[in-house]
Amino acid sequence: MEWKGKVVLVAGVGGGLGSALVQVLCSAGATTIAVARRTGSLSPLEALARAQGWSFRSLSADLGRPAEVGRVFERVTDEFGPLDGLSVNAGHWVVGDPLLHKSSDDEWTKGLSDNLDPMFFVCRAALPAMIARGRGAIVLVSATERVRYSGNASYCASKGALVDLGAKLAHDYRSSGIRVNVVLPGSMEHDVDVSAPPQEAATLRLRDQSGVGAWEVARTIRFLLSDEARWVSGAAVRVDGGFSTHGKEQPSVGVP
Amino acid sequence: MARDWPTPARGRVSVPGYGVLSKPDSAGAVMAGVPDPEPPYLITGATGAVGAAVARALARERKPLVLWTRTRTGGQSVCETLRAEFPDVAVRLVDGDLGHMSSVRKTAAELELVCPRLGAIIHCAGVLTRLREETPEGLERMFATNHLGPFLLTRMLCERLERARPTRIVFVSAASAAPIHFEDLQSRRTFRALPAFASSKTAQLLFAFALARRFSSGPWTSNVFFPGVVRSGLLREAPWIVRAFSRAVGSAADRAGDSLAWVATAASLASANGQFFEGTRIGSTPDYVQDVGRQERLWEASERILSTTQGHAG
Repeated sequence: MEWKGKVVLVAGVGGGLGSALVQVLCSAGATTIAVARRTGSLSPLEALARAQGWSFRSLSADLGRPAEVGRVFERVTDEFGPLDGLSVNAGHWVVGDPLLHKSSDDEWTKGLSDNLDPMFFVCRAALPAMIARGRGAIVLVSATERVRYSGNASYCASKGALVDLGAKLAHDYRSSGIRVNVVLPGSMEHDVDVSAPPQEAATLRLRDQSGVGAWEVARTIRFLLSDEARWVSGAAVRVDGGFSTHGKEQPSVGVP
Repeated sequence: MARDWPTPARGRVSVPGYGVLSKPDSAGAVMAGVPDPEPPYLITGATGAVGAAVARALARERKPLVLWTRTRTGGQSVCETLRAEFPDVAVRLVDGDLGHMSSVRKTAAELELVCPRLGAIIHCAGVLTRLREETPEGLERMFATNHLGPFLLTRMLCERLERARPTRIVFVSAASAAPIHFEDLQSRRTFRALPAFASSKTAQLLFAFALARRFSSGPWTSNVFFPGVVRSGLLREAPWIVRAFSRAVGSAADRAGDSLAWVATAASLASANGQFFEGTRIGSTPDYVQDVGRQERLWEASERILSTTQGHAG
């Protein structure tokens, strides 16, 4: 797979998956643009990129604010021209009672907006240049069903909405040569050690409870963004090491 | 949403994410692996006549480009024109004021992260001011933009880019031998536009040849390119007689751009170092700029001035 000369933007590099994705893309040779709200999560990646000789660019912006997203994409389009790939990872687990009737107003609205707004703002900003060029690949990061169902109602609803949003984008922009896919990770490490590059040869155990990790999800996203996946569009790909199919049921939550 | 995107041509197969392929089975050719791609070519002053011409000449050769312009808005139209004409050539735009050292530091730091390798650094940026102007850092604008900024940029990139792979550094200049006034580098005591401009170009030559000595063991090279008198915007503040002369004898920038692209890419010039190219011929340089003592004196003076700009905020 040829990544050299390709430009990929990773929107949301605060957590483990974003860092891992930047690293698997950079180490494959792609020019990777990382956007995060906090510069604190970008500086270790900058240091690593410098040490490894990777092609890396970092920008800080709050992806939940359309003006800031617009500013970032204006900058990126000027500086790099159209993107080859885009992964929207922004979003987070919503802390709160999983049961809807026990959820607060704030959990509901904030959970929906934090997990959905960046997807809308970022895709809206990225699509025109891809349409004009007639190609591009987008990945939206959702969550595997079992993770969704164990979360707060707003988390579940927002991550579920992404599956349909991804399919809709794939449908709408197919004729523009743009592929859109959704990945459904199982549980992931939150803090990826940025000093440890991915171990391509590592053997993984498919376990019941824990996910297979941010690195594996990152590798899948890299595949979906690559030309190797050029016939894959509108898919929702579980990357959970079989957690969804083979695992034991979660301990039941106490329904009153 | 309005369906304003291009529809694939009839009889061809549209592959999402892969644009339009002539045949579905051309995948084999795509997968077969592409040779190590060209590293990008950095061009400063890309909005100028020579800068834009060399950018076009390199784009025609399918070389990826990084255009350095003073302002982002200034570079956008050059960039858009190139991207439209050469859609398969990567054209990047970075902005920084070469006369403003904190701006150079910031942009160069971003640049070295995003381009760990460069095929060439082509210094086309140049400025001529009629009156003495001072940058926010208290530097005379021509000395700062024509010499100090390129000095700082080159030095920063030299420190950080991969040294094992060749990078050609080319300075667009003229065979200037106007003396450098080391005691008054910022032209505070006396300022006359043309002599000050010529001195800044002398400084550029001294630096180019000092750099060439440091690269003597390869694979990096440092050379000077003289485009001849080119009809450009550079002289817009020059006295009318100079402008009239340049209009009368000046040539179009396209030829200069082609020659400059050749100097930056020709395989036969891989080991050409410390040369003064007049177009595609090798010319001779004044003794004044070949003086090693003077080259080193300017290098040290430049370092000293840069250390005073360290604390300035952007």
